Amino acid sequence: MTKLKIALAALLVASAASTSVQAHARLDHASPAVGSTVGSSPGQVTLHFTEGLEPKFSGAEVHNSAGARVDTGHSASGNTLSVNLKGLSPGTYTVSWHVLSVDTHKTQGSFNFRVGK
Amino acid sequence: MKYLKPIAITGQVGYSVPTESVTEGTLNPRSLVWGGSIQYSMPYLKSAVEDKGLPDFVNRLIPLVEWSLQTQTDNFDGGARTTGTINPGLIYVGDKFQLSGEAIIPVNRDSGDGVGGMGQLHLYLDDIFPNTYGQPLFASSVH
Repeated sequence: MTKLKIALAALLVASAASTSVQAHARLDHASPAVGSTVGSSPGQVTLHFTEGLEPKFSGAEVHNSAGARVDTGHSASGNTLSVNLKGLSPGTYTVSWHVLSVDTHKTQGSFNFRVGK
Repeated sequence: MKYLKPIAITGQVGYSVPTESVTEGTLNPRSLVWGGSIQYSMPYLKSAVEDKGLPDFVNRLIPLVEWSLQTQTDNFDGGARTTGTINPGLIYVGDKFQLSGEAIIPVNRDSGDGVGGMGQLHLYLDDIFPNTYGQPLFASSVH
């Protein structure tokens, strides 16, 4: 007789193997670089992604350590997202971004950079 | 401390219930099926913690250890209560594919003899065929 088992648990285990499948737009690199320290206030933050972006559904904000917004808006073209900045005083800043890639996948993330020594 | 941020821990648990308690004289135990993984994402390190300027190949790696186990809870078959494997390995995340390789190490003699291996290749079809498979069904663009 054919052996039959309820396989829900087995399915869970099978799906666990090497689970980190990704096909979304990832942040490839940024300027200022992720986690870096720059000597003076940059004019803008530029984020380069691994896939093309849908500009209307992609954006980013920059906040200082007190939570105040220090950017003046953003624009996206191709696989690049640019955020214009006010003059930044020395301190730590957080860039929060969200993008919709051209293949309709949404991703988001954040990173810090530091101005000054 | 910030270099611990790329660590991820996953886990899952299930319960296996055979439709027959005995098959040809052999007991079919009920079992708790459980597993998990611990992994370190170099892509996350680069994109969210610190871009160390490492080679692109290194920035796409995710070393990990997975474990897949089952523990008999009822109708024991006489073997070890817990069997399964521990699988250390490495994932490479490409732009259009993901490649992984893992060793398969039994946790005890009832789980198997010797060390095995497993490889997986995932293809990102929507990135390989962006103008067909990767488009919305009822619109040519989201603009």
